[in-house]
Amino acid sequence: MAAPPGWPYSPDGRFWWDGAAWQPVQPPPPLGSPAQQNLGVPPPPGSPAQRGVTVPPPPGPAATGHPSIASPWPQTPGPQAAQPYAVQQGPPYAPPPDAGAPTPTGVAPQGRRRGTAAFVLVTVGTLIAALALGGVTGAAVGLATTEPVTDASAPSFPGRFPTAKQRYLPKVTVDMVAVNWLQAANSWTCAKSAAPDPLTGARMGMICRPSDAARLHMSVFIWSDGPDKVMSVMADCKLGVRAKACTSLFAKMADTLLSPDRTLRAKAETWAGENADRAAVTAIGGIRLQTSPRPHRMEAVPAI
Amino acid sequence: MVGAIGLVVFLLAGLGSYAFARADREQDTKYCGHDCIPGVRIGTVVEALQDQGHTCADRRRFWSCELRVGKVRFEADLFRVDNLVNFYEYISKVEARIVNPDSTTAAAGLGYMSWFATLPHRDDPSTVKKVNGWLAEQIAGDGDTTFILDWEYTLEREANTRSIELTVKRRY
Repeated sequence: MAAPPGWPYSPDGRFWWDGAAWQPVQPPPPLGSPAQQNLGVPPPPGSPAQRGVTVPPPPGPAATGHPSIASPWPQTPGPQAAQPYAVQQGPPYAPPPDAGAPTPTGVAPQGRRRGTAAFVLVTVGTLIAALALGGVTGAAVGLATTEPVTDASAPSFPGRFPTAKQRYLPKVTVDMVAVNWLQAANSWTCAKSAAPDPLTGARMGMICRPSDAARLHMSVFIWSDGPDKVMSVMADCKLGVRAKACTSLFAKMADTLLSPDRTLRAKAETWAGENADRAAVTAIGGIRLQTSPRPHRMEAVPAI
Repeated sequence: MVGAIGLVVFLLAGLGSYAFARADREQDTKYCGHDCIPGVRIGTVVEALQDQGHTCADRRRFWSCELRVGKVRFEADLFRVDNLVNFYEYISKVEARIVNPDSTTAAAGLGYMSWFATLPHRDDPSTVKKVNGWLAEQIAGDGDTTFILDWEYTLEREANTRSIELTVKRRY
């Protein structure tokens, strides 16, 4: 740094007298070097001397006076006087000792750093605050404006849950039993009943009997909700267990009910013939067949 | 600049937490008192049964639903919470009966009773499994009483009426 105008320089031009101490004349640092940051920053008054590195010792005993009173440097610098300057051959240019330097050029870089730090601090703080406030506010609004489930849909039904579709004998119609089998083939007569069946809940009933003397001993009941909604068919035989007519009645009934399925009708007929005189139950083709000896009956209902 | 960024972050955080809270709330079922099955109204259950062909009637204190298949009757009484007006339309107790069951109706009987028994725990698969396990044992056996979480289960076999009956209610 050059001395202010009017202040004296040392003979070699490397120091200038500030009135109290010798100050090094700092050459400009190479362009772009870190030292450039400190360009123009003078050592604080008095402080370089405290460090004892950058400030050379006074050139002579008269150095403590004002230049106007006495010349600060020896006229003929001797070896002792030259020695301190030799020390300055090393790096005499130390950075400013602290931020307390009064010159405005020394405040700028540190102030910039402080400004940047403050900016980052404020930004981070603002983001955290916005995040927390936004989160709390959003959650509160979400909870306040959304009702919990007060009426969810009913759970799905398991596969074996009984349904109305299972109430009727599959593929069985009233005509298939009453007309095709009993009336046409065996000359039975059938009569409808409007009374619902208390047991199955069927809306309509039909009772069929033989036209001959056997009408007192054999009968077939058909319970239904409609022509193709047969709920139950029951054959009753009072001719006694092991009576062939009863066995034939039960076997033919099984054959008729399973007649839509050719492979199953024979199986059903065989089963009914073999179990006509005992208590047994089976399910064939969605139809549950149950026999009992007393009363001697066979009943067909949907298998579930 | 900072204010604008803060505003954007505020809005984004708010939207995110709003969506999360809303989704969480919609999964929750509203508390309906100590005595009832939460989150499903009695009318919803009745409608579901009617869709399956069951016949239902309102008996004021309870809804009664029934389905007959042959001689077998499936009956269920869904009791209202009669001492709490706010929860009147919720189910406090279920009585499910199968009249005239036999060996061929065991699977359907289990499916029927399981649906009612698991209503309180319908969103809890592990408890549903536990309830169904207990139910299967009792239907095959003589019946018993057990407690699963806050619910009391009783399965009784009535010889006089040739029926088995399941009762599901809150434990006290």
